[in-house]
Amino acid sequence: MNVSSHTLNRAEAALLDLDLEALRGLVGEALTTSPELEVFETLVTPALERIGRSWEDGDLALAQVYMASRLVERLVEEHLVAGQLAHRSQPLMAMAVLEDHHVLGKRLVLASLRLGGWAVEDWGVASDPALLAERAHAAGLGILLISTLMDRSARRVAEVVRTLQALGASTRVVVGGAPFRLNPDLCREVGAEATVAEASAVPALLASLVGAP
Amino acid sequence: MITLLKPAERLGAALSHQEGDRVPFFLAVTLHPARALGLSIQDYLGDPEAVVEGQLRLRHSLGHDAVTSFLYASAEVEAFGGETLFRTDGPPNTGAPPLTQASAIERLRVPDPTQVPALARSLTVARGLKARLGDDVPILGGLVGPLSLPVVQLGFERYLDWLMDAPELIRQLWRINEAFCIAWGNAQLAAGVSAVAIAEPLVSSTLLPRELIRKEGLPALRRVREGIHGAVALSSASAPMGHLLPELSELGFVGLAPSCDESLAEAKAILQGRVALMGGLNGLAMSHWGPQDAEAAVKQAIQAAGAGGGFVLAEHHGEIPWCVSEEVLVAVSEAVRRWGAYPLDWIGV
Repeated sequence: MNVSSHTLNRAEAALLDLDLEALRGLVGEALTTSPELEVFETLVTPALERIGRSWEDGDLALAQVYMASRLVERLVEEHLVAGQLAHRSQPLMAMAVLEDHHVLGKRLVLASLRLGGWAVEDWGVASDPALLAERAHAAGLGILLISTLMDRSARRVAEVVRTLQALGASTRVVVGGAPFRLNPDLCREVGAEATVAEASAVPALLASLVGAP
Repeated sequence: MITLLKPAERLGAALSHQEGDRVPFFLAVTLHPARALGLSIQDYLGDPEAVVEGQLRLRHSLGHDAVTSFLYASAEVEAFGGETLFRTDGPPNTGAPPLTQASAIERLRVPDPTQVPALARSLTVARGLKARLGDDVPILGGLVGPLSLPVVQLGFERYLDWLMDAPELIRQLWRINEAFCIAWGNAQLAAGVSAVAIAEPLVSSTLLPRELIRKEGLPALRRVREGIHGAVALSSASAPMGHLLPELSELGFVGLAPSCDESLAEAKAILQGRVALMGGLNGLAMSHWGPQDAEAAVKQAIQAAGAGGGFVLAEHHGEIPWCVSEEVLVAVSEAVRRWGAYPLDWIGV
């Protein structure tokens, strides 16, 4: 599906204006010629990615990214309820916040992934890195996404990785959050496989990890 | 002959935009003294006498130009019914957000900081430090700003949800927080702190929309600054101040501490002669440093912002991470003495 830059601009504006009706209108229009997942991938996801990039460039606030994500979440929910949004073929995935009650980042990532048709279990807050790794192994996860807020929690991802290795698990660990954004070496230090700076980039990262188009 | 200034005189010169004997520096070692005293972090932070002793001991080993009576940010959430989770190898963190219902905001009254045990301990520390140091070494107090407190009072997610769906509730909370910040800042001054540093990451337009900060955040910060009857500095706790720096510089703060990811030289040019620039060191990066890295970072910061006074070298987030070695901190201290002595003749040579 080819989306004109004008339409993309309108989708981005609808997200920033928190105008769900306008967004519904644009999606509805696109659905007359293309299937749901394609419409989300070529219209809504790029608009959300633009907003994410603008945040990374310092032109927009995290609050605006979050509010736009929430709007998209609502739209995705409507389509999921209607049974219209198909899921991808993918490894089993789950996401958890390590050691913190502040789950904003997780919600942003989960919204972004659902929008891209990825199914990811929400494992809430994990307080024990070893138990998180054991759960991931027991569940047979292909990918475990871990969100952190504090430097200490980010460093404890190393315990998750070590435990997974000790268990012989093939689970790949993807990390995110401020400590990894502010300290680019930390991802490698804790032994995680990958990280990205903002939530809307996670679907593309997962696609590259699993070799999906 | 070079006359060595006392720390208060050195900082005073910097805040007056003059060159003292050297660039003043302050390392916010809120946790490291526990290690030096052989105490757990929780035991250390729970004992005002130990904190006084620890601050003095680190001041002696590092030779930095201030001490702090600030204990941990979560103490302020305790004033609103929150809890603090202590770790053995890192800073205390807040537990579950205490304010989860709209009705809790509607019923909320401004807490009296002197009646909150954790904050009262911080006041005891301030009094203890003042008794030991007099006016020679500045004591820095601290508080979390009114825009940022809701992150821990409500949880960031609920904060933004309500900002979107129930903005009047958030405004009401901001007003309560303003009054609390003023009361808490003044209580610290009364206990002997020389200046209060406000940690306000949400003044960064990377976190809240710039127009919202301009319309509601900056006036709130001005009211807090005016309500606190003493010197007040503002830190964005490592979040970029960006385009808002010129406007923040008009609010009457004695010093501003932007993110060290921003250009120190550009920030210095904006603040030149009006407001002191604080910062220049990245605590997270320090955990990878050896002594040579510390020296290079100190030298770079002083080169960018040291000339002419108006600069205090400091860590930009407001707390040196637990994993940073004391060897690195000592290397920072030695580098300031080596490269920070005025006049900075080595620059441009």
